[in-house]
Amino acid sequence: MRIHVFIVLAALLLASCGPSATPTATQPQTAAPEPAVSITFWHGQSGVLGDRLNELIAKFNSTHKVQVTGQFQGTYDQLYQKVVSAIQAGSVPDMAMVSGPPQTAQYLKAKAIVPVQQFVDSPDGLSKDQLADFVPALLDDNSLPVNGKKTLVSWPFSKSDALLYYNPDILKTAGVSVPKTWDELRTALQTVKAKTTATPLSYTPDVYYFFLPYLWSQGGDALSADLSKAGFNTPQGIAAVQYQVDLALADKTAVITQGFDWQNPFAQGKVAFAVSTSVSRPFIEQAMPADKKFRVGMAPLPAGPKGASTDLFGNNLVIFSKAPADDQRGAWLFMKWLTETDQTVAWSLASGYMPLRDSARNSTAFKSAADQDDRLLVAINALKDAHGIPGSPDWQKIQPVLGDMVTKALLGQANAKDAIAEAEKKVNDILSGY
Amino acid sequence: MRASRRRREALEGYLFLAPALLIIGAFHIWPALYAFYMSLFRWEILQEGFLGIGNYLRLVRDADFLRSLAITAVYVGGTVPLEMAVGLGLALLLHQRLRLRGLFRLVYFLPYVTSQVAVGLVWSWVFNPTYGVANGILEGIGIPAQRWLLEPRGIVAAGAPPSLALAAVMLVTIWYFVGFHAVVFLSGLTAIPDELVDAARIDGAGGFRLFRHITFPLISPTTYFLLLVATIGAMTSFNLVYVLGGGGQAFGCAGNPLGTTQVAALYVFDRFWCQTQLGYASAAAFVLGLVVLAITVANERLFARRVVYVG
Repeated sequence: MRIHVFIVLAALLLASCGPSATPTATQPQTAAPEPAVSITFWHGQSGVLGDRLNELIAKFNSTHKVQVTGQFQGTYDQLYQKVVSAIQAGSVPDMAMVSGPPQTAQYLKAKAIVPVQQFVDSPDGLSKDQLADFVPALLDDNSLPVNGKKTLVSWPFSKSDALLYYNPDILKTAGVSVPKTWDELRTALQTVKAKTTATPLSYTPDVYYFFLPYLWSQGGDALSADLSKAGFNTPQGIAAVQYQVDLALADKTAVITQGFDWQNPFAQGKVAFAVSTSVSRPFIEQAMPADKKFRVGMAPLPAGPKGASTDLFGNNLVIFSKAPADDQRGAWLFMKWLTETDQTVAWSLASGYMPLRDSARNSTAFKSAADQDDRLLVAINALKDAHGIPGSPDWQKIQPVLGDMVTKALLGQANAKDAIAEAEKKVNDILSGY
Repeated sequence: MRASRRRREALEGYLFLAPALLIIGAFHIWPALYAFYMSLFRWEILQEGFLGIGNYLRLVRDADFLRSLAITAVYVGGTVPLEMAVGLGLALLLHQRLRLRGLFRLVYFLPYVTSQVAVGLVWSWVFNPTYGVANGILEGIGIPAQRWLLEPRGIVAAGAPPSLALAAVMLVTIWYFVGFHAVVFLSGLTAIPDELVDAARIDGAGGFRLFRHITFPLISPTTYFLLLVATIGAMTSFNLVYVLGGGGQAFGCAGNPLGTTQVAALYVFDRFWCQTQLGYASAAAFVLGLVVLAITVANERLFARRVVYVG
């Protein structure tokens, strides 16, 4: 553990002091002088990540006229609840983290945020080339239709994606290689069950970790393209539920857990496979017994007929419309700085989130860290297959319906087809505005 | 002359009342009025169209809301009488001249002074299907392990409340509140005049007859008080059910599994905070408030006349 911290610190030092391999973003010609404003930034990063974020903020403040105050507001859910309350009270901060497109869509619908696009296009913004340096999936994740036009409404910051975790020792004992498709995973789980005493798969049937990636890998989707209707009552949707039912009820190779309850048994070496985001690794390593450490295996989620797919986790940044124009501009300058190559490399190596730009992936600091540990690249390589969570402002009402649908099927209370049909009706009711 | 003195006295009275009124006004009455206002609108993040009683009409047809009322009824019916009965039993025991009586009083009261959230977290470990103590005990005596808080199946009939999850929550609720009932009953017992008990004994009463004709009637003010407080508390209970129902977990908002622990207060929370239907949730909160009021009035009609005050 101590060594791990040391490596991270060393990498941070490298990232902040070493010369950067690629030029960082430079200001386009006619930008107005930087405003001397104070920016309030509500975020959801605590513990080590909170400290690292505060260090970044301090670094920004020491070199800029814009002064940022970061305020920790609790978990993403609490942060969201506070923002909703702040919107009611009319006293929002200048900028905040959001956990994904559905919340951004809600804020946008309430006209509480200004689309980031206007700053990207401004003299303070980014050139085409600079924008092209960002991973396209991340820009998509931050875009929503505004007046029928795809628009950047928020800005990427801490991004991770869902991956397959495995215990290489158990796989070796069972004589199983890392599965590349869902079918291979099912067979691998059966082999692990037959040849070892380990739990083949321990997972929480969250729609994000399993249902959606599986659905996408079959070519299906949760909602129709215009987000106006349920889109999962299809053979692909039924397959996405049935697959989990097969594992849990027919093969009995999957143990269903709640929340992060799979993490400890996995860390204790009792579980062969798990599904979680790239950020889970430090938590797993921390929970490992000192005398039974193993190298946590990470691989992309298995592929379906339409290739592999994963979904984006983490957070994006938004600017509130109630903030004065200068504050908005200051907030944008901070966001832009935060995602410049040097900072995104530093943040990525410190946090386990992914670097957001190609130049960051190719930077010396990141490359040397990846040379030491190729697992850093697993999440990044999966990025090209990443989907954002559907950007519907009603997603919060839809997600529990999908969760209940999967739970019902996994408990054998309904077959996959009936569970899907029932959920489809509920989702369509929600989307039609009840 | 006299009128002005009375006015001054009244003014003083209001002055003394002012701090409390201000707090109650600002944090109870004003929010309640504002919630009622919100309940008349379609109000997600921001105020949208005026619906009048539209939200209320939708509630009456909302299967999830009606289910949450049914779950609340089961929860109240399954916890309050048991809490009171066990609490009274304990109080009678603790009223005897026992050794270590003070220690026992402390032990039984201890859960009640512990944070409900902490209690909820500890019990959710106990009921954890993978590493919980509850399954360890079951397996020790040869009963198959249960999924406890993750089990939506009913314990009486498959589809009817309470689910095993809700039953587990009810058990924890009873465990938590028994000490409170015991202590309040105990104070009721100590208030019974000794001479009445002695007189009854001289008349030949003892054991159950003494309890039936002297003790029980004379603690009726305490019983009535506890019934009211416990019923209102259970109908609006939130913390324990929220934590034990997986609230705050990544998976689902509150009232897991499959909504079978979603009591009415959790329904309100879920619609307000997790689904951001502020107007609709406010309407649900109002209906819940009216139901609580109706039951309190019913309690009074049914039981107030039977209360005996000795002073």
